[in-house]
Amino acid sequence: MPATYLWSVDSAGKVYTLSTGGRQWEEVKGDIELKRVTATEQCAWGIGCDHQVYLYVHSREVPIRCQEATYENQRWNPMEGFSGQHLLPTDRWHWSNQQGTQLQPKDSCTLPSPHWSWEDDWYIDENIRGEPTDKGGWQYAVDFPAQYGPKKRWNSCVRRRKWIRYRRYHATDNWALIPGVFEDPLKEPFIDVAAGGAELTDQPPGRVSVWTVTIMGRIFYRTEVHAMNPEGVSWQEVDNEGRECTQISLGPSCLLWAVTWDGEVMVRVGITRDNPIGTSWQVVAPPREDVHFLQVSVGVKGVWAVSRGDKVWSRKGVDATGGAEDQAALVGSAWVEMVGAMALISVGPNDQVWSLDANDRYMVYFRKGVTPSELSGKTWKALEISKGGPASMNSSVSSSMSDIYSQSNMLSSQMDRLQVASDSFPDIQPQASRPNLASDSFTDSTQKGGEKAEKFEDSQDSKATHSLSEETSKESKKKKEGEEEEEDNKERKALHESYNSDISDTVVDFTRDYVPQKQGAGSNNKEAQTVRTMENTPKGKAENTHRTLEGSPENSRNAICGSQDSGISKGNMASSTESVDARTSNGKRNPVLEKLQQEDESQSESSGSRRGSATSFTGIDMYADLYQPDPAWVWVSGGGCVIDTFTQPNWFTAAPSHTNGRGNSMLGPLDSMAIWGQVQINDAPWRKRVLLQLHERTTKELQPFQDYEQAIERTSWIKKGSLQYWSDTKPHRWVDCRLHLEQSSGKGLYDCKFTCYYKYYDSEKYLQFPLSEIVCVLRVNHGGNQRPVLAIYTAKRTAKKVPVRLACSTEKELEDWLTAISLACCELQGCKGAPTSRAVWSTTCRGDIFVYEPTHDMEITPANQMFWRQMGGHLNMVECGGGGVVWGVGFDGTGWVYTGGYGGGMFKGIASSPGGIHTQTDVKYIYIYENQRWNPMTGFSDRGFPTDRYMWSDITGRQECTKEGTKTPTTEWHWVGDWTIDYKPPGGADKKGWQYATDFPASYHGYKGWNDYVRRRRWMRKAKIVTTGPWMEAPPQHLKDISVQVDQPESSTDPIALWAIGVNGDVLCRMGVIQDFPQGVSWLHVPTDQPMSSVSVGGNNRVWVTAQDGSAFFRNGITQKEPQGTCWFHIPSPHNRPLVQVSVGESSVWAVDKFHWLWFRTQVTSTFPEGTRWDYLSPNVKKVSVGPQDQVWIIAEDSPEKGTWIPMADEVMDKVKEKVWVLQGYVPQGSRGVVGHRLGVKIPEIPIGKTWDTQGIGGGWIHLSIRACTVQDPPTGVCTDDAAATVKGVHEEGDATIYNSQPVC
Amino acid sequence: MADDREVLRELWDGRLPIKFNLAADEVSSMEHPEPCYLLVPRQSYFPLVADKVQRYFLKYTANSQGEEMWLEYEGQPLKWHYPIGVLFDLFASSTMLPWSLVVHFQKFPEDELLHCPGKDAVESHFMSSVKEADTLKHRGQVINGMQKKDHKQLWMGLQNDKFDQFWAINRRLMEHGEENCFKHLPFRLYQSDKPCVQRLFRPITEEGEQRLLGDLVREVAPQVFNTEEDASRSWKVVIQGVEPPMETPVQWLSEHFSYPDNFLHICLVSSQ
Repeated sequence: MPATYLWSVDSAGKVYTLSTGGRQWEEVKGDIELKRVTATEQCAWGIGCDHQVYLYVHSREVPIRCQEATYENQRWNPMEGFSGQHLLPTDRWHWSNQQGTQLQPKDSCTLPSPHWSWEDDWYIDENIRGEPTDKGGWQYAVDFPAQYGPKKRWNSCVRRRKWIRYRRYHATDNWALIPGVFEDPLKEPFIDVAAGGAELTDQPPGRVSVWTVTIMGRIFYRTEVHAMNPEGVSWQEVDNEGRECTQISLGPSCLLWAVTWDGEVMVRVGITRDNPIGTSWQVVAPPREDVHFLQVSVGVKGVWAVSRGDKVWSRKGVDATGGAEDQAALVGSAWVEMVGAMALISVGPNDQVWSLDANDRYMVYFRKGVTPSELSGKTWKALEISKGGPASMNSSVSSSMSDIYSQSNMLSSQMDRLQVASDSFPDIQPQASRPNLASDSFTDSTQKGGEKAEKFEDSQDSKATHSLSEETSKESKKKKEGEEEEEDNKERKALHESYNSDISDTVVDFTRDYVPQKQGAGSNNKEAQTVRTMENTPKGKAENTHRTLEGSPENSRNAICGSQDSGISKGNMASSTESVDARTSNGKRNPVLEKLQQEDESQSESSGSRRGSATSFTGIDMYADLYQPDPAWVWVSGGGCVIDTFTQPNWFTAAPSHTNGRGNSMLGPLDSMAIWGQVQINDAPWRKRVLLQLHERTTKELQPFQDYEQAIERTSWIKKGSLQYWSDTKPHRWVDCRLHLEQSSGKGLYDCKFTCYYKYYDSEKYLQFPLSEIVCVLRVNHGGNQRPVLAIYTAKRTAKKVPVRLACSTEKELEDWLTAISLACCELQGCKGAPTSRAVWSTTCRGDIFVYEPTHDMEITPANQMFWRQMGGHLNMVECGGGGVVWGVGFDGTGWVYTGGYGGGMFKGIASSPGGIHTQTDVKYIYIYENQRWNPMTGFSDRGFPTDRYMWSDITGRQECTKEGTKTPTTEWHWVGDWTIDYKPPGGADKKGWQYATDFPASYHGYKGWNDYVRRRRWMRKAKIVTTGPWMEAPPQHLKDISVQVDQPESSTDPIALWAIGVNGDVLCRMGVIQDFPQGVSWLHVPTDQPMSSVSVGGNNRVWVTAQDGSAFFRNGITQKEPQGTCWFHIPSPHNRPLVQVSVGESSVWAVDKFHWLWFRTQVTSTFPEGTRWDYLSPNVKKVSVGPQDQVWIIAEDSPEKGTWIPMADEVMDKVKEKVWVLQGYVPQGSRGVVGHRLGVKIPEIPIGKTWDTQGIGGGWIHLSIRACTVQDPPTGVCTDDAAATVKGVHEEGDATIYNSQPVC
Repeated sequence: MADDREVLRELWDGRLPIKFNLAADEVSSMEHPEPCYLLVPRQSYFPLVADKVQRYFLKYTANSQGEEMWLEYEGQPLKWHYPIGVLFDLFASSTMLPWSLVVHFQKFPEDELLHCPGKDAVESHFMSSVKEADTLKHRGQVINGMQKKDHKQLWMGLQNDKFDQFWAINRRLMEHGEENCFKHLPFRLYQSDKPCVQRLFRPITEEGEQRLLGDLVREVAPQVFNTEEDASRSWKVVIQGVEPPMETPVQWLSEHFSYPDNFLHICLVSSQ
């Protein structure tokens, strides 16, 4: 799930955000200081210090852009032909809107506000309903309100063409002023603003409600605020019914509460999707007469308020999910006084609560334990982040670590030694570094700047029982000077004074490192080590920008602080931690602090920050002073901060310790940034050495003695259990069975068997097959059994589509068996470690991910014998491509990048890769149906006939599904929110969501006919899965489709083309994707005239997309320099068959239409890449994937048009001269979601192949990608086990063959 | 969590070639029996692998019925309750392979060895080690939360040399809580001429930094680094037959390099 943000404002007017994934308040850059802020997930609205309303929109890679269109109309006359000058008086204007009802010349179209700009000039749209028009874009018709067509006919008397132009919202990442109600902003300033309402049931998607309050107590609603029009249009006054308002709060489902000047609270009622303004106010009775409310904040079910005297109240019985119908639920039932004194309260979209303490405004508090059933939560918990507690210290360390990673490596190893050394001198080191003893000289030294180092050393000398050798201090001084010179050249502007002390900090600390080490180790290389350290530090500084400059000393100091701690007694630890606190808050360049220091205002920013870090050092003693001036929080808004009860943000947990050794600082927040594969532990030098030694051990102790007898003979191990077996033969039912899974390792793998003993009419029967015959084991849905069910496929059973189905009593037992069988099979099939870069990836409707390792020549393997193994994670689709780049898209549209690991999910512990396994979340809707029958007495009611279906059921009606009784699919899933009516079910519905039919199993329609006696409506509820897998979240861009190039990159640094379609149909091109960095750097938006539905990147970067209107587009002009190409080529869809998916192989282009027909593009050549015609090949194809050798694989699917079959066009027949394959190449019916592939594809002779093999795995498969599947081995990177490869690499000069003969692992 | 399958597998598959010789003075038959050659799992215990040896030599030795077999290497009786790999690393790491051991059926060195009445004794010793280790790691919560059959599977996995069977259970013992590390590190440090050392040792510092093998050795056996005391002696730190670099985190070592009894057996071997 992408991170969301908590917003807050401090007393200096600065706005900060705190990411749910972060541990630090980040300042929001902007030109204006704010008083209040109200956040939604997409944007934030605020009240500026000038009491105007401001809007902040995050910049996204996909810009907010709007199409403006106008039509040019012409009529034919015999004199001049077509002309716009001689339109009849009854005709429309020369320039008009689409309907012709309004005059709309091009120049009448202006930008709505200064925050918009034009993308380019007007141009003609040459596409009419997916068909290209003639040059000039004219559409012809007989007369104006008629049907237009692209061709000019003899009776075409009028014509029109569409001009389009795009405007773009450019005021992102800044506070954009929203014009007030009056011209004069001072006439009636605004005092509060509330935004939300994005989840009002069934409103137009993207709509946002914004309300504001003026100083006069009047309430305004901002009209037409929308994701694509973030500013809205105008302010509309809403009658406040004589109650002057001071504050207002809006929840995500448009629950609106306001506080009046009198301290009363009122609720807006009547807000619906059609009337977002509502109808009237309803006053909420206060708990007691003397309670005067000051502020209120609402969520969906949670309403919290603050009254005079800082009392906190929570409202019981509020529920906005029912919409405006249930007024009582909007108002709630009673006030409950809560413990604690709060100045401000904010409720988030999930009813999570934040607050500001009345007495301590320096902390934002979070209400712990708020769940849907326990809305009032348990305790207030301070977010220690605001003051930069230990957690944030850690994060700052590791973030700065990354910048100077290479340099700090050496440094940290020095630190380690110091630490060890200081441990061994417990009674010396603490004294030396105890701040209160050294404090005098410390403060002194800051003032005197350059002299500080010596001073400090002096103080050490006097305190410590051992003295510094003069040589060392001299050397360090010399070094220091050298450093200064170098630095001076780099950054002349920097103030010498602050600069000096900064550097000397570092130097001093290093000298201290050095001293105990010398004492401890007494070795001869001490000098060399010191020199090395010295050299490293300046290098790190010089190389980096001033941001790192800021980070580098800070980092080293932090590390030093840590090392001091180890020596300092426990009592002292606290003080040194707090000194770090002060510094972190200081790192934000706290204005008050700066004032305190009375620094010159003209100083540059970089010197300012350096000054900050310089003082922070003295902070060790002065932290008490620094603590106070930190500006207090004045406002907090959790409206855009989504926190699930089961995935808590990182705010409370300390940053993870460096679990993988100190050599790796890439952990914690960085974990998600740049980890490709298993770099963490696997690349640690110590692991390589350990592994190498282990191999050497084997070589020494085992290799020469292979002929010895084994002391312990290995035998097989049988895992036993009792499950239920679905009887294959009649009568079909669940019978108890005993399961034996025989496993062994090493030799004797061949005799492993899978046996299932069951009773059949009192006779003992059993089912047995060797493990090697199993081609897939997976979890399946099985109606009729509440227990979790797993299915085992053998080749024969795959072809017949009857797996062995076994029901387990618990989820745990199922996972146990599933992993046991799966791992045993993997071992047998030799599938170890991560999938190769050639693997075929697929997903099922359950979101499970499966991988098939193709043999060298894939064509030979029949589809039913392919072994599919499961990977952890939950995805809707996975696309792979050249260079081993694999991306997935979740059901919620989140993009995920494959990390190169394996396992995760239910594959735990040793079945998972050591690195690259991350938490993964996904969201989907669960649907149930409410059924009703009409009777003459009561009308429609839930009393049906005894023969009817359940009144609450699944879609088939056979399964009872009540709101209470319906469970999430597995225990990994949790409910999010409550059941709501789906107003837009497929097939349409009336205003209340009902669909009508004459009788139950009939077809439903969205209106009530005279003979409709039954009706149903669909309820939906969001469910969220939290699992793990080798996937890393891609930047927060919700995607619909994705495609990676089929070509193998020639080198590992070649850019790899990766294109995607955003959820709203935007075309995106990912920049910076290379083999070792598959996540890439940023999205590049490729403008289109209409939303797209699918994309595919073929050989030579030929990009094809399908559009929403069913036509296809080819992107022209893609080169290395211009990876996004230059223009779109419009390619009409086959007649009346809107294309929905396209896949482009090395040379051939295939597409699937809406009715599941498969089309092939003929005569696609390198000089004529768009081809000439679509040729029909087969019905019943749901998805097609074309590989780098132009292999064609499909997901076969029953077509909605069953049995229709049109003959192949004659020209195609002639061309191929082989009529037979046309009939053979017909995907049989009854194969729903089955993997198939095309046999006999031969490039260039028979690009469409000969027959289908649709015997593959299936029943619920929804996506497939063979786009990485080259027949010849890719140039690099093929190895089943990364680690084994590294060992090989390390040991190249030795006997590499040993490792080949001896299976590693 | 122990998740580096490659390392675990490699360690599990560790074998030692051993040449068993019957003690010359115990031979009762006419000719001296040929030595018995076996590949013995490093992770195992001698009583578990002794069946074949015992059967082989019994016919050559008289009046040894009922006598307990014991092994000796260069005059050193071998303790059966140490894993075989530990015994080898400790006493014979520099020897020529195969490792030549002397088999005795008489004169049991009562003052040096414990009796081993049978495999049950090994099992109870093994299980008590596992429990002790878990007490150190998780205050015993994991092992106590297991069922009897899980304990049995652990033991049977070791006895029958079944990696998957063993690790299916053992991985639960290797899990760690929110702290990302064990409470204390179960380890034993051996030197050939001194009693073994066992101490409480936290795998992380108070600041949450991982502690390294070097830290541990320095704390428990400072003489390794103290070269000045006796410059002629230098020490090797051997675990499972290899010398892990001193910068290896102890937590990782404990998860991956522990013997099946969940203890990290560290051998200090002097290399003159």
